[in-house]
Amino acid sequence: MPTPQPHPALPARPVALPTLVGHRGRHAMPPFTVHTAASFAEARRLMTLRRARPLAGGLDLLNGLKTGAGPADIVMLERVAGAATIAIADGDLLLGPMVTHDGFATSPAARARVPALAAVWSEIANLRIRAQGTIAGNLLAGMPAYEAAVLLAAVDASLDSLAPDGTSARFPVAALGTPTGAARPFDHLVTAIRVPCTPLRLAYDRSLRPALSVAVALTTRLRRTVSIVVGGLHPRPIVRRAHVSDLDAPGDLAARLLADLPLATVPFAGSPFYRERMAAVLAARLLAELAR
Amino acid sequence: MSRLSFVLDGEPRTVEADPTALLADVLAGPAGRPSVRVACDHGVCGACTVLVDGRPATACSTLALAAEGRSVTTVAGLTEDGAPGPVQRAFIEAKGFQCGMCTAGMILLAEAFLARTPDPTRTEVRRAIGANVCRCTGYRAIEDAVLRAAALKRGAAPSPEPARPDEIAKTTGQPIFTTDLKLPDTAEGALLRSPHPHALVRAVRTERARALPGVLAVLTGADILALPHPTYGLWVKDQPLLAVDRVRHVGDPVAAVAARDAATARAALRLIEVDYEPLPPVATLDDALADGAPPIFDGPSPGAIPPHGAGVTTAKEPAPNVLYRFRHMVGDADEAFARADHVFTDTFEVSRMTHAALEPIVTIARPMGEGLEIWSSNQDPFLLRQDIREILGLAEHAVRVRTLPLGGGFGAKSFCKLEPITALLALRARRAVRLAISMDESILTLSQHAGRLTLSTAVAADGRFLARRATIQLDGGAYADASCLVADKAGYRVGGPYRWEALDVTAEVVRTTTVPAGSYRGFGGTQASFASESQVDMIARRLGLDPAEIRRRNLLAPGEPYRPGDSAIDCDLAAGLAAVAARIGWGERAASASDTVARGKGLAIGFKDAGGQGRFAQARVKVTAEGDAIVSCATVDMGQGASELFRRIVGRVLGLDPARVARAEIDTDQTAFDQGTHASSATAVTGEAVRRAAEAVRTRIFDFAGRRLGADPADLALAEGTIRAGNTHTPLKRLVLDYYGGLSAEFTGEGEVKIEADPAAALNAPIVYWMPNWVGAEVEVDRETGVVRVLHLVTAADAGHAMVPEAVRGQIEGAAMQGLAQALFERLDYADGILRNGTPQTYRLPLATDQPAAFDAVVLEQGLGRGPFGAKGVGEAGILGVASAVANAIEDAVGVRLTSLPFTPDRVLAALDAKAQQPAAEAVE
Ligand SMILES: Cc1cc2nc3c(=O)[nH]c(=O)nc-3n(C[C@H](O)[C@H](O)[C@H](O)COP(=O)(O)OP(=O)(O)OC[C@H]3O[C@@H](n4cnc5c(N)ncnc54)[C@H](O)[C@@H]3O)c2cc1C
Ligand code: FES
Ligand code: FES
Repeated sequence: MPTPQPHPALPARPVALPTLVGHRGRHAMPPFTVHTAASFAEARRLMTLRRARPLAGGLDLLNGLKTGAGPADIVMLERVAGAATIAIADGDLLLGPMVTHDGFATSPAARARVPALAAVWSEIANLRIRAQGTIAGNLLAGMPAYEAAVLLAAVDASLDSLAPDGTSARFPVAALGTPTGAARPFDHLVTAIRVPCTPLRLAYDRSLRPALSVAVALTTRLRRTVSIVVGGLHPRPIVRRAHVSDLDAPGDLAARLLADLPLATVPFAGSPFYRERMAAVLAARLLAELAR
Repeated sequence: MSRLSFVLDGEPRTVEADPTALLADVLAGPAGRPSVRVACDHGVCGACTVLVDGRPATACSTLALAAEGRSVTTVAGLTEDGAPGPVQRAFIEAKGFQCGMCTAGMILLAEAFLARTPDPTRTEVRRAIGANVCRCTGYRAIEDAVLRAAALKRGAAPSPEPARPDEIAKTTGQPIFTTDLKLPDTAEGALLRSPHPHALVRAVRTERARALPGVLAVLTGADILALPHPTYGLWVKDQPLLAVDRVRHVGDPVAAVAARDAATARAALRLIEVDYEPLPPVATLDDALADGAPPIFDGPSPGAIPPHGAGVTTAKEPAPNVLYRFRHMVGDADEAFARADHVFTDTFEVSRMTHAALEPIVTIARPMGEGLEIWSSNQDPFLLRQDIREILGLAEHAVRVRTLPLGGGFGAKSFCKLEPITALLALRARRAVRLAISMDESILTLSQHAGRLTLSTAVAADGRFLARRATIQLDGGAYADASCLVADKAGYRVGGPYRWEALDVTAEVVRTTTVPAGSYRGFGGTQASFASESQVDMIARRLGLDPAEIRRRNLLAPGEPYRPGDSAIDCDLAAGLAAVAARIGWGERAASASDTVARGKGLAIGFKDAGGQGRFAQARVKVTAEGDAIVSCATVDMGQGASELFRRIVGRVLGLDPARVARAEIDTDQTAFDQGTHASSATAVTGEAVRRAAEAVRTRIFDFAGRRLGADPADLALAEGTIRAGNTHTPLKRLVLDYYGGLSAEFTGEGEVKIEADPAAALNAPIVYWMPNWVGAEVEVDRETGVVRVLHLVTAADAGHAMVPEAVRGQIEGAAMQGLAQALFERLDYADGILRNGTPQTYRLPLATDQPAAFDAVVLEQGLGRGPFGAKGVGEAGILGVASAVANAIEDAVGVRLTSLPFTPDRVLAALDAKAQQPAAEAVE
């Protein structure tokens, strides 16, 4: 089947209105068209043909439009069959792209198979946002302070997607690029988030958000792998992994793994060095927690 | 347009809506649910929360299309047979709201939470309501309400106390705010704002905007130059309605448009071309005061400084970029300093917050006869009438201002703001115009004052304070607004509630090219209290004295004048300190949870004067033949509980259940005059006028009844509309019908209060009452991260006599939460003159989860108040002492002194690092 191409008559998308100081808000939203898709294939076709952006919970996409810029076409995933389901396949937990934070954190399957992850997920955002915001939307919003990428990278999750040409792809969450960066599965339609049900221990510190958050995971297999993921400092989380025999010196381990942490590029009020220093402090604490 | 079908509050509904419309607009518009109010318009505050299929949805961030075929519940849908349902009932019983702007969203959030967690703990409730913002309450009352709702849902018996009309309105979603008001045939206004902090405006071209279909009026600086008075401000009137030749801050309005709808108005703004010639920004106090700094104004501004009293000199625009200077001198400071055993000099920096009232600033102006009718979410209806009359050159009687309850104010809605430009748009468009600015625009409209305060304090060997010299520099931003008055207050309050032999204080307002600063809860007292109470503690520690003891040695006693010529202290400062010290366990030190954290305690006494300067307020009370009463006065209810206070005052004087007293709407054509809702004056000033009006009407009733009954009026009593003369009880109605006939009659009484000028007092009139805020804080500081956790906060204020105790407590808690946020994180973050967090998403507001683990708001009734029945206001008290108490507790915990707000983790850690590098003990001067 030939690859669908954008219709030549369509105007350049996304659209952007000149910025009006102070006028971010719903009255500043540029005109756009809403499509509803009944299947992933239909949604992906609309993405390709009309350069539509998928709309999940809508929290980021709609608030983004209030700046006066955004996609001229939106495709709602809400009515896509099966988009909100949580399934088990090949030993992985498969989260549909309409699964909300709350849907995941309270799902019996998630609580049974990835209890540590489900438990920390119930801390993300708040009751209102968890009910509406999706995990896929959180990942794909490209916001450095958002937490899904940090936690999912720590547990080695991956994304199933449909590329613009309709082919299926799978890539680790840790490889997710930035909306504008080189690694851009951002124009893919994410069809599922694949969370391995590998037994592991997970500790997470979000107390300094939005400056940074740190997750540490430790596989409990024979050969223990520790993953430290630092979010908030860079457009995407920084992941450090190592095989370890013990966690006797958590401070040293954290310092060693984060020694070459690149300087934070995401701006934040206050001292730029504070956050790098805190990454090591929080990581050491989390390692100590896992060692207990 | 397309048809959207869903179940709304249990009933199937189909509405016509644009498929790209947001759920909030469809519900508040065609679906007729005014309780779905947009505040932050960013998904952050939750004011717009509704339930979709039982789950919370953020209606400002949800496509209406997503509701197709689903069940949508608004707060109106929770009523049972038209009466408040269990959660609404619980919010009423627990007084879980003040202004009511967040209430619909909070109630729906609670409903969803309780459906899943029917028997929650307080901690669970705190986490749940942490989803939404309440700027008023401080959250404790909302938590109580949710816990009560859980109990009611489980079958507990509701309280028999009847709900007040405003409580029913706020909890069931009736339209009450100006933002809810929908007048027919109303155009939408919008403002084009400057993207530059400082620039000359070379040209504004509006032709394309004017030609856009649907545009009704376009105004620029050229139009406002033609006005009799094109500028406004409290004393110094330097703020043009629209920039004339220069913009002075990002967000300065340059042009105004009225159009048939909001989208057309914004489209028109995009068609206006402005030629700017950027000038160097003047971002900070230092930039503004540097030699050769670019002047922000070229010449003197209109306006004048009113007379001040003894010891005070003032100067309007005394130096380039200095708007105002206030100097207050008492005694011989040189002599006292020469005599001192110790002199301590310390500098403090205060950050600035934005008000973030959830109801946006809204004005609707409608041409009427030769003038205008105006509805505005403004605290000062009569000042507004005067300003609009003056600015537009209208007759005073031709301007009619109406004010509905405000969805929060905190100072943002005091004095004239965008009302004159809305009025001018309405006159030009020849129809009603509504200008509702977004929260982003509000952030660009007014802020609190940032500032730098240097205090030199001369102290005797025994810790007695001798004299203080203070230099206060407040960042007034681009325009004066109320800055001069704030400088007066900061300067006059910086000595705190202590006895001094001499004072020499200078407070200046410095102009910068940032958002104008003006009234903000605490009004200079917050800044002064932070510096003064921090330094008092530092002095105690340097002298090896107990911080409580040094305060006790220096506190003013009840009855002692605050300063020579001023009114006497009307509270027991030492008793308040003792109460708070006892509650915080002063002198006891609990063990820290681990080696990395340290615990400490701090005390502070925030202090300010209150009740305004030389104030005048009138009130009118009518009594109907049935004996019911209606009170008319112009204090605007913005959640502080003013209406209920007035009802109780009237009820007490007339022997009437307050439920039988109505509060009349505010309308400058009808309502008794008031100089405005400021300075916590509602209780002590307007409340006293109400008491006098109630007494006046009672006298008239007794005179009438005495004549009819042949009794001496002095022997009569009134209870629930019945006249008692000895053992005879006669309904007032019978006497009225007997005399006036079946068409009935009413009685009216008027009362007023004027605080007389007195040049012996520094501010030219004696202070109405004194407002202390005793605070004790216990903190835990993480030495590795710098995170400060407030474990226990005790905050106390003196209500004199608490007429509405739950409102008093709510005011203290809400203000304390603002103070705590300012201490720990909340601020407008300017870097190089650019505001980096000017949106609701980036500006962090305190949530329920930010409350201290233990939070005691203590209402003291010290009984020395001079207001009605001994009552005093407390509206601003709670914010005054928190930041310094926290700073003092941090020093107690880890030995470092934070002198700049807020105490963010990186600042605390930097201070700990600095201390680690300089271990030598600080010597006493
Ligand atoms: C008040 C508030 C507090 C918050 N607190 C937190 C917090 O504490 N921690 C945290 O991590 N986050 C937080 N968030 C962010 C929140 O979790 C995200 O907004 C939410 O997860 C986004 O989900 P959504 O479904 O609404 O995304 P949408 O707005 O629908 O989508 C976001 C982006 O993802 C794209 N997208 C969505 N689905 C797909 C798909 N299947 N394939 C490809 N692209 C897709 C969209 O096109 C869009 O670009 C908060 C947000 C708010 C408003
Ligand atoms: S969250 Fe919708 S208005 Fe604030
Ligand atoms: S009552 Fe919550 S914002 Fe006013």
